[in-house]
This record gives sequence, structure tokens and C-alpha cells, in this order.
Amino acid sequence: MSDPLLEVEDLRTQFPTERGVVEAVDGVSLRIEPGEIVGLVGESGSGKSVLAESIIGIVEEPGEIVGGDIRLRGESLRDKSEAELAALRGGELAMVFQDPMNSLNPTLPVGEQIAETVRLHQGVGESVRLPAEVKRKILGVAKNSEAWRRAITMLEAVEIPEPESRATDYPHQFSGGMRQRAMIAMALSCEPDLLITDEPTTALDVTIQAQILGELKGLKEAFDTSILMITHDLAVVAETCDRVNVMYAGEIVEKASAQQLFANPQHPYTQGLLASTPRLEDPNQEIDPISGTVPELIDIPYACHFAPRCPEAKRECYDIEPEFRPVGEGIERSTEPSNPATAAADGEGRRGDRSVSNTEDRPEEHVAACLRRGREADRL
Amino acid sequence: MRRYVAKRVLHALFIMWLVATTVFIGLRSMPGGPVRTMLGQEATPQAVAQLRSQLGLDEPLYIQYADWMTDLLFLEFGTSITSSQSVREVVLGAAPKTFSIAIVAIVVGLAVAIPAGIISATHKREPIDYIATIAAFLGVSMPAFFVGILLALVFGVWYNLLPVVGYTPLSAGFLPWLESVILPGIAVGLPYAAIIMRMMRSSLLEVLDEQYMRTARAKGVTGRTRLFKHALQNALIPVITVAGIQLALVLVGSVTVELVFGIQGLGRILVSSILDLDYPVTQAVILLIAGVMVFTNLVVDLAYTVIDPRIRYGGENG
Repeated sequence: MSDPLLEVEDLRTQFPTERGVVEAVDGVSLRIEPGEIVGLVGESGSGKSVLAESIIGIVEEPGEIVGGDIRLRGESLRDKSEAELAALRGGELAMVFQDPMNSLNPTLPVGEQIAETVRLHQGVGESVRLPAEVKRKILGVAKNSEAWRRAITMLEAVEIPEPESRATDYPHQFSGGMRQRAMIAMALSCEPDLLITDEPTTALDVTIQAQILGELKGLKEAFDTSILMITHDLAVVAETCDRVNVMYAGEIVEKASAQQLFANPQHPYTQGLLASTPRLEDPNQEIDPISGTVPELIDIPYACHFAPRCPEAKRECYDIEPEFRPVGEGIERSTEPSNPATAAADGEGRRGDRSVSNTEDRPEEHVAACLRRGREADRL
Repeated sequence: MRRYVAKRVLHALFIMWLVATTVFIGLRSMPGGPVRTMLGQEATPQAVAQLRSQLGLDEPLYIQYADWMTDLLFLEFGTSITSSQSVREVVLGAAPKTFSIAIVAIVVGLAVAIPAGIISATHKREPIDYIATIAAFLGVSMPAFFVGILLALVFGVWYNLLPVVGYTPLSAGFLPWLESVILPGIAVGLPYAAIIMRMMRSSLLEVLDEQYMRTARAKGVTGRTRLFKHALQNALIPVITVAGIQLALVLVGSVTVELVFGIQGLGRILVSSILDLDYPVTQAVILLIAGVMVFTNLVVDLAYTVIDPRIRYGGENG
């Protein structure tokens, strides 16, 4: 294997709240190789977006990264100052957000928002100091500047018609799909090494969705960029990704190649996700949603976060920290430890505070889960 | 855009007519009359009748109304009943004083409020934010004339730095003019600033939470550029609205503050003309103030098109 582009190791991001600490990202590790599209799948509230924000270093206060490491080409991003990180953001690390309607600034022309990124990272010799930027804002951008030309080229690359005149338009004059294209143009304008797309097509209708995904794949080749594709939509994963990470309640529960994941899902959560996705080829198949919801990520009292919803949960699942290990060719999952005794000791050491509380009521919960599962099986 | 402005001007004229009519009816329905006030309780009925016919007050109301409207068309406001000066002279004598105070108040108000609001929002829940908040509540709860008295006491009486009475016209030089209106201007401007500052703070806080601010951060835009290039313009939109509406506060404030500083401005003329039932002067002053309000609100609405590219009037699409 070549050197990975991005390595995330045991990353923890937490948000202190009045009711306790929300552990939005709770010990996540993943890696992205150059030129790969890696999926990150999970329900809403599983911590996918916080993971993305942690990687590019824009976690909103009071949230903060409390542990683990993020390495871009082997260099730790956690050691870098805010100024060094700002230089990376938009340059080597770029991000496209979920909601194109609100992610562009309504008071700046679209072209200027792209040109600004170019000025910041491409060294086109145009000042990005505050007075120069404010002057540009008031007097308008110089149409013959390198940054502006580059912005127009980018709009052209994402297939926006008449890019010269469209560049001077404001975001409200763009449709949703065009705005997301503009966002992608902005993100790719500095040829980033890694593009993180957070639900890039969720807010768009299906035809535009397909177009944008297709374009993203093409642009990935053209700009030689790796993509971390965050989505809750397994169809998007099937369409685009090489490898997939399945995230649940702040943890990665399964990693596999996209093919393996669909052919042979290992973790019960992944199986549940697949079972709850409607399939075209079998319209009569009943959709089987996973019962329950993602827990609030505050002081989850059981070792495996998925245990209460898991059809295969055993008593140990509540007590002993699960282990992440390969369970087949190219597929790894979080599962019960191979050697419960040592793993239990590890677990105690790492988060002993959590695994001792409420021991009594866990077997009941598990029984309840099994009963639920049984009832559903009867119905089928 | 031009069509929109034309429409708004017609609209404004209609409002002015409405104000003129309301004032006319309102004044005439007040008990007593200017003649009684002028001649006193002991005046003979003949003297009263003579003066009434001289002033045209013996005509039926609809004739008086028609006269007043035709006069208005030619910007003729008549003569003051009490002083026999022409109303135009009276009003033009007083208006510059009030407008000087108002302009200083607006400049001071915005110059204090906008930076204070920005600092308060960017230092949310830090000591400086609390200090600004307390100051703003003090400003809102202290009426302008009270601030005026305090200012006059401190800067005029204790330190003797600035005059506390009277007005020097701009024609006598900028500095003497400024010295004479700076204290009343600040007195009127501070309560105005307090409201705008709170608005600026909350509006900026909201904008800083917007997703496009996250986008700016994600593409590597740093601190102050993010604030002044990406956030400020968006945050100003509601502030402008409030600043326009609260202009009424400035005009009302200057009425009382003029009394404190012994300035014969529109406020004092308005109060004394109402007490004397000097119809022509009251009508003219109220119309002038209404005109200023209507005009500034038009300016505010047009300012939106500059600040917010999403707002275009008259069916233009960019």
C-alpha cells in the first residue's frame, strides 16, 4: 500500500453541554489513499459531519478535538497553528457542504467567492489583506485579474452555462443545483488533495443528484483529488465509492470495499441499513427499518454503542469494549473481543467509568431487543 | 428602479396629504381658539369677532380646509397668528437648529452603536460584552433630556468646556456650530445608539452562525476579513431598518433636549404653537417632521438595494 493521503487515528471530538459532554466523534480511525473515493455512511446524528469538520479543523466552539490525531501526508494537523491550518483549508483540504442554498454568501457575487479562494491559496499575486478585500467588495472585482479568470474557468469546468456573465451573479440568481456546482467549483479551484463532501446531493432533486455525482467523479479524475464522501444514502455510496466506512453513534463499526459491503455486510448495523433501503429490482420486498434511534451521544452507558438496537447483542456487548478486526477479505468490523478477558482489562483502562454503571438493567434491555427482533421476524 | 422611486414619491405625497388633513381636523377640534388665547378672557365679543374674520376663522370648516389645501399646493403656509411673522420664516429659523442636533445625534449614534455592536457580538459573553449590554440598557432607559442635563452639568458647569445654552449657526464657522450642538446631539444620540447597538449585536451574532460563514472558514478566510467582508454587510440589513424607524426617536428626543439647552428649535416652536393654538405654525411644523420621516424611510428602502443584492425593486431581475 502506498503512503496514505489522510490518516485519522482514534479521533475524539466532544461538545460540552449543560447536560453533559456530547462525544460526537468517539475514537474514529480511517485512512484515505491518494485518488480514492471513500464513503462515510451513517444515520443522521451519528457524528459524520463533526468528523468532517474535525478533519478540516472548523469544529464550532465550544466543541473541540480532545484526542487522537489527523495526519495529512504523515504531517499531524493537530500540531499546526490556526494560521497554518487556514492556509491548508480551501487549498489542500476543501469541503463542500450539505445545504447549497445557505452555504454561499448572499452578498458576494458567485465569481468573487471562487476568486477569493484562488487568491488565498494559488499565489496569483493579488493581495488578500483586509483593505484590499474590502476595496474589491466595494468597487467590484477586477475582471482582468488572474483570480477572476480562474473562477470563470472553474465555473466552466462544473458546466455552468455562460460562465463569464454568471460569475457576476449573486447566489440567489442560481438554482440549487447550480449553487452546489458553484460550491464544488470553489472547493476544487485550488486543486485540493482531499475534498470532503458532506451530503453534497441531499438537498437536491434526483436528476440533479445524479448529474452532480457524475460530475464529481469526473472532476476527481481531472483534478486528481481524493474524496471523502459523507452521506446517509447507500445508493450514493454504490454509485461512487471505492471503500466505505460505516459510522454509528460516533464510532466506525465497519469498513469494507464498496462491493464487499453490499454483497456481504458483516456488522448488524450495516445489515440493518441495507435492509432499510428500498430496492428497485424487488418492489415487493418489505423495508425492514432498524428499530430505535441513534442514542444521544452523552455518556452512553454500554460498551458497544449499537448494542441496544442490535439483534445479535450479547451480554458482553454492553460490558466489554468491542474490538475492530478483519472478518473477511477486505472487510473489517467492530465485534466482540476475541479474548474477552484481556479486552475487558483494556476496556476498563480506557473508559472504566462508563462500563461499570447500570449493570443490572442491561440484560433486560438485551432481552427487549431480542423480543423486538422476534416480533419482527414473526411479522415477516 | 426609477418607476419604483416615482411610485414611492406618489405614496409619500398621499401620506403627506393624510397627515395634513389629520392635523387640520385635530387642531380644529381642540377647545378654545387662538383668538381667545391672544386677546385674553376679558376681550369684548366685537374684538373677538373682528380678529376671527381677519384670520379667516369665521369661515365654515370646509372653506378653511380648501384654503389650507390650496395654500399647501403652492407651499404657502400663511402667517403665524401669535407673532404675525410668516410661518415660513418661523419654521426656517428653527429647522436648522433641530436638524443640526439630529444630524449630530445620528452620526454620534451610529459611530458608537455599530462598532460597539460588533465588539459585543465578537466578544459574546466576555466582560466587554456585559459592559456594553449594561450601557445599552442604561441608554435605553434614560430619556434624552436627562442625558442632556447630565452632559450639561458635567461638560458645561463642572468643566466649563462647552456652552450649555444657545445655538451658533453654521455660518459662524464649523467649530462654534459643533460646540453648540455637540452636547444636545450626544444627548439625543445615546439612547438612539443603545437601540441600534443591541440590534447590531444580535444581527451579527445570527450572521456569524450562518452556513456561509462556515464556508468562508472552510476555504481559509481568516478572522477580520471574515468579519468585515463576509459578515458585516449581511448583518447591516436589519440594522438599517431599525436605524430608519428609530429616527422618530431622534426627532422626539430633540424636542425635549432643545428645552434643556435653550435652543429655539422646531420642538420648542411646536410645543408653544400648540399651547397658543397657533394653527398655521403647528400645521407647518408637523408637516415638515412628517415629510422628513417619509423621506428618510424612502432613503432606507433604497439603501436596501445597495446592501442586499437580493432586493431589487420594480420587477427588475438583476
